[in-house]
Amino acid sequence: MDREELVQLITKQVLQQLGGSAPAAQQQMTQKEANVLFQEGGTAAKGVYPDEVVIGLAPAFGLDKQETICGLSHRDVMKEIMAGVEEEGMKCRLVRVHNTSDVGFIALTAAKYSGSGIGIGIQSKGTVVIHQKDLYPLTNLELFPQAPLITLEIYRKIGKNAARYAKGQSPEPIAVMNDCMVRPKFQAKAAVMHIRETERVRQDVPAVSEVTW
Amino acid sequence: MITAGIDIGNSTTEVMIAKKENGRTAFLGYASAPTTGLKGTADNVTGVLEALAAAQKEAGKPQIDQMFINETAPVVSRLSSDIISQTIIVGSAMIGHNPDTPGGYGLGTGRTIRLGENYPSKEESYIVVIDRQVSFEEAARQIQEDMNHGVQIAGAIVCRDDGVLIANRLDRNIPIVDEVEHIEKVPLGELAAVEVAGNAATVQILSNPYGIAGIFGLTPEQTKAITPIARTLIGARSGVVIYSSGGEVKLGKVDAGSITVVGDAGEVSVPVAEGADAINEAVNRQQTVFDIRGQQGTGAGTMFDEVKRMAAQRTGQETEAVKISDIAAVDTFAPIKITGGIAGEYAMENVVLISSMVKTSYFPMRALAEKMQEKTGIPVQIAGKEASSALLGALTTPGVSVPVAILDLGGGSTDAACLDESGLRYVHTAGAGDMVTTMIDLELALEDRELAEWIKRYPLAKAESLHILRFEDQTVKFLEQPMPPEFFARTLIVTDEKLIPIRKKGLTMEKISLVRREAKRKVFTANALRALQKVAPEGNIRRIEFVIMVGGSALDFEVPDLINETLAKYNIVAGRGNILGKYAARAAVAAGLILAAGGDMD
Repeated sequence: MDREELVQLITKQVLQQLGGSAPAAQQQMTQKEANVLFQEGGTAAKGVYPDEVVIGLAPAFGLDKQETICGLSHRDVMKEIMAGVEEEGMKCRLVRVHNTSDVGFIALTAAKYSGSGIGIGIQSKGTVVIHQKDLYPLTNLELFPQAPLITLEIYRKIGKNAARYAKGQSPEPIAVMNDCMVRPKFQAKAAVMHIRETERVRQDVPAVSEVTW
Repeated sequence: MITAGIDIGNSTTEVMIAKKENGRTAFLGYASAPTTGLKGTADNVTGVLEALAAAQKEAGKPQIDQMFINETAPVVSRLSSDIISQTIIVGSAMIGHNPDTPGGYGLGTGRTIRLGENYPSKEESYIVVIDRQVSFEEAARQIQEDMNHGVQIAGAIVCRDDGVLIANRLDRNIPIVDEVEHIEKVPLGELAAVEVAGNAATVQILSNPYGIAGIFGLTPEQTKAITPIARTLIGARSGVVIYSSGGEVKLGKVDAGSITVVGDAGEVSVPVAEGADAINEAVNRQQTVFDIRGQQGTGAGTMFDEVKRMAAQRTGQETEAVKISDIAAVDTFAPIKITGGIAGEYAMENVVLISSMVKTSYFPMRALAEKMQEKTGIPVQIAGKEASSALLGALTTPGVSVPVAILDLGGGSTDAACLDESGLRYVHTAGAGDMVTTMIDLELALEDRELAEWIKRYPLAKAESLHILRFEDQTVKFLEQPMPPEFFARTLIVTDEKLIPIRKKGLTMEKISLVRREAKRKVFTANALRALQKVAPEGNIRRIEFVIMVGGSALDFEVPDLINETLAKYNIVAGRGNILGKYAARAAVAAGLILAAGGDMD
């Protein structure tokens, strides 16, 4: 078996594990309409209040499959991030970013819409970036690239740290775990999840829309 | 004749070149280079040659006929810190605690009870204790329900960092202290008080021993016993005190040994735990100190042994023959984790910082002079004591006349020399820049001496955005290029070449700058006064009219101002040296060597 065949085989198995092939997933989505996490609203406005942190959701977050790559529910993840922001005495505003699935750009967009200039970007698979509006897209304040290693406690801390940046305090960067086996273990799944995210990218609608929890 | 004055200091080597003709001296050039190797050893030659070449270039490359180097008094100094107080909580009776984000505000008192258990009575008020596994939503729902049923809930103690989240979900305000790490250690069924202060305020009642006594109805004896807890809560934004009759908080003195000062006034012993004032007094009682000993097996003992060993190594003397000539002590404090605490509490424990100094009679310059002569082919002469050369050089500062004193603010020692009609007196005293560094390191709990050194040397700024730096004096600098993202919202040390971020939690710019200034004030103003007093005419500082500050710490951005403030009270003109009207204070010795021209002042 050559490498390509192996990759195909693994991808197939991953797809099966993820709950059937793509059309089946779409069916599932109609079922999940009953279980909506967010109310999708109209075009979002840029914030003016300095006490807000904007969370930018990737195109598929909370829609098709409401779980991160390691099986945390999107509901719990959002709850923890928002609780982290609230514990610091700040407010959360949610937007959905439609025109890209790149978490760096999503986070930067959120930051630009944020009254405090601090935004958080989150993808369906759970990858998170904390961004500041004046930074270059490929830089960031904090990046959590290994989504499978992020626990609910860390999501809470991410919310807290973002709020602290917004308040102009200097938080200690969150310690992240590093596991060199994460990449081989989750690469196929991550690729599939990212493809699904990217399939949802739309250029024909306003780039940033309001979302309520 | 062309002469060169060479001053080898601990950190830099200074060279001054001058032309002497018919008794007149014309200064031609000056340069400085980093000192290579330990001061006073043959390794210095490399640095000397470098500085010499640079000075010669500036002077127009004249042929040098004679070089002078100074006879340094080899001062070896050493620091030790001894923790002399210790707070121990026995039986986990009381906790003082200061989480970042407590919930609600005000004071609540009641009996501790686990949330969800049956409340014995509706007459009494309760402080609910919330375990780790209870989510903030569940906790808030339960408290709200219980309050709706008429239970008097006066406050809450929470394990997780959920204080604000719970408070936001209740329809009335109660104080909530969170992040109590070992919640299982909180005794249940005991009287407790929870206090949360508003923004920019600190707890008022629990930090006051009488406040605690009022809440729990304590006797004078018991009030005495809870005082350490009130003390640890001073400056906290929130706190919990649980009073159970079995437990207690001990504030003990640690046996840090004693110091014995031997001098012309006899032998005086003083326990280190008595603090800096007692130690300094014991030293100052002596006109001349013969030796100082520390009790064996204690921090002080180890320090004195070490400094003696170092001095012996340098001079080739027997360790027993080396004598400590001076010590200086400063009271400081360091945050130390309280033994037996419930929430990982810290107490500011007292620490005595001692700087000790050895003056040896051995002058290591001889070997160095021979080496220099061999390398350059120019005759080298050891001329003048460091103090007299420095004074001569400092006197070239415009606007100075006798009686004049110089204050040499170094790293390991603060030296003073005074010249008046009756002659020259000089003294080396322990305690200078290195002590300030250690104080900053201890008080900010940095455990990073290098960082402490940077903090000491440079002002602070905060990155308000990636383009805006706000300095500690509130001035603002706008940057053309954005800073790297990791500097965002951080306190930065602004050095000449780079920005250094301070990453430790809870260290605001205000706190760091306060600690830094206080450390400099405590060490330098006290030591400057002490040193000047020893050399002043009749021991009276007021008789000195001019003070010239030289040495590395005189280049500090705030030390000269602090000393100036202090000396202004004595009606003394004080300032940084302005050698020959154009060179920095550190050129004083090099210029003085040329002026002395080989003849010794005293």
